[in-house]
Amino acid sequence: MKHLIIILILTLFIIGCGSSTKVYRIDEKTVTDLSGKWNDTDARLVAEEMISDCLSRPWLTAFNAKNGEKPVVTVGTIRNKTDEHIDTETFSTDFERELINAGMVRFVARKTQRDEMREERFDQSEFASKETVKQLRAETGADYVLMGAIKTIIDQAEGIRVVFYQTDLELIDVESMEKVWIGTKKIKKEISKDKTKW
Amino acid sequence: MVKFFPEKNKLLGLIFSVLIFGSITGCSSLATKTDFYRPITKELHQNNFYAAVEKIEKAKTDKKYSHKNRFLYYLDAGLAYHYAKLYDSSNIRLTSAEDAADELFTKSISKAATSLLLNDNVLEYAGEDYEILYTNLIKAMNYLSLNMFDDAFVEIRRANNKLNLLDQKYADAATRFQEMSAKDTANVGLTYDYEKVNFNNDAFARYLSMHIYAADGLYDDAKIDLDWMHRAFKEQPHIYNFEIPEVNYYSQEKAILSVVALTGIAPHKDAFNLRIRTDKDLNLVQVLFTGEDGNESEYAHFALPVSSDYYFKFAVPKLVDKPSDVHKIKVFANDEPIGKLSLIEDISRVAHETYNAKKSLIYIRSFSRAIYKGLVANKMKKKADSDGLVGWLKKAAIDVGMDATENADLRSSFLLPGEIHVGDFEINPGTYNIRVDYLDKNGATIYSKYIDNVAVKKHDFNLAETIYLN
Repeated sequence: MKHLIIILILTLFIIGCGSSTKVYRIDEKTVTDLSGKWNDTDARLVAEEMISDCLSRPWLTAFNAKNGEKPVVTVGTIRNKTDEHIDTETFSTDFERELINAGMVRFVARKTQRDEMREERFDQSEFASKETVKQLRAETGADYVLMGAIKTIIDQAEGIRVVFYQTDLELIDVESMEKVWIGTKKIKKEISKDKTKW
Repeated sequence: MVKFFPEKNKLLGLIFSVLIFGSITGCSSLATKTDFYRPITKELHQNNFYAAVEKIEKAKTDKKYSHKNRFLYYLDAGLAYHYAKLYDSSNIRLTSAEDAADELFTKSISKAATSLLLNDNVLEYAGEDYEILYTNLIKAMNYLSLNMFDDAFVEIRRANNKLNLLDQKYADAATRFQEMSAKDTANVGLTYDYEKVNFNNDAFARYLSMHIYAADGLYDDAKIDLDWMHRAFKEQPHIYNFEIPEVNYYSQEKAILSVVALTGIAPHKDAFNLRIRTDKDLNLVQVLFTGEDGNESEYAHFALPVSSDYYFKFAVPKLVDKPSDVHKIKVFANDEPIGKLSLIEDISRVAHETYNAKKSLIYIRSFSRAIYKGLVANKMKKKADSDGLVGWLKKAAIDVGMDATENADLRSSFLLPGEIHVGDFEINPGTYNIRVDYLDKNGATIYSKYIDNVAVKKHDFNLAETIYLN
């Protein structure tokens, strides 16, 4: 009995001090909720729902009917108004890709990319040959800017935290400032935490 | 061979001995070790922040920060990297500190049991509430320095959320304690009347969010945060017992230069020990305690007839302030005086207020442990009792052993600043060389910090931060 207890306690000390790492590859669409924070699954869910909603709304057919061509869109600021560090680019890039691949809209570079490209063109105007230099003032102007924000409402008590994420995206006509589409995706999560562990 | 444990306590004695052995030789230690901080704080006081970073990393390599103290390493390193203007590295570590605090919120049954037998030093350190709060606010400063305003705001929201939940956290702890107490068949009858945390609105957090809103052109929101900042002072005079700083987020014609200075060091923990010893052979009761000077003194001894040898040690941490040398901070732009900074946050006061709620719980645990250990030691001494020097030595050895296992948990960061000062100055847009003079109580300049080429733009949050941790 005495030896058993000693072995048991020493084993606990050893387990308590040691650690090991194991890595498994998993399917990218597997839902992995570890901490309860915003993750790839949330970004994917927002992108999927927003894309299908955006493409099924009348603004697109109305633009085609009026202009006889695909609208040109750019991604503006998507603000993070939550209490988590969320990279909003993950779902805005999904959004861009799906809309381009669906062949229904054209996208121009977002502001930060445009600034970099302009620097490149100014650089070319100084150093590139006449034959290869790209023209200044030949950019395609966007018809619409996609803007939005992610917000959270949090409630917490007794080790249970409920987080309500709301993602709002808006498509704004650059010329008229008219909002032609507003999409909203809501996600609610309950995160409970054990008060004790061994 | 002497049998220290009575039959029915044999198992308990065995477990106790193994735990002590395991703790001493294994991954736990029975007392807080702070000596390794000396070279680090020396560098901080000399404004050698990069050297402080190197010394912290060396301390980690040398295993001075054990795994159970990982929160402290992440916090200390995160602060040192911030002071050294290595903002990305600071963010990585402060995020880890916050994650560690969150993870360690879950109490370990096995460790808690060990701490009941030994002391709180064997537990993983989850950080004090004020340390966790400033983790977010320093991260906000990092993000502002990196021009990542949205991310800075995330940190301010996190700090505000924590403040809102602070009182509830201890109310929950008190409820759980009462539930456990009701099931206590021994009917010890200890109650935990937690002290309400009267701190839910941080003025510095409001100051930062006010400026972020203003930089975004959201002046109504900026005004709301300015009002909240004023409310922080009016509704929490026990924390903000000084004048509300005059701050400004808008100028029609000019630009606002905002200067933030971190000074001094937050309070640290010192041990308060109270020992009561009885000696039946000498008919003596002796009371010893830790005096104001930190030394152990004899409070009194009484010659009383006592029937048994008892030794109780009650060891608890107490927060000790470290007043700053800085009395006034003057700001100059291109060598022209533009004003002085005002105190917006006395971190010592925040530390005391948030620590008070937890203090009574620490005292109850320590008191229970002192009684329990004293009674176990008494049983062991009765068994070891024999005439003459040998018997006395055996009993003294038991007292020494018990004393060695009971130590106050003194873990806290030695790098957190003690005060935050701010100033908003309306000046013409342009690029300035800023000088910040720190003055002592005699009006003598004790340190000057030069920040060159500060771009001050209209309708922007033009933030310059200076640090002097003395």
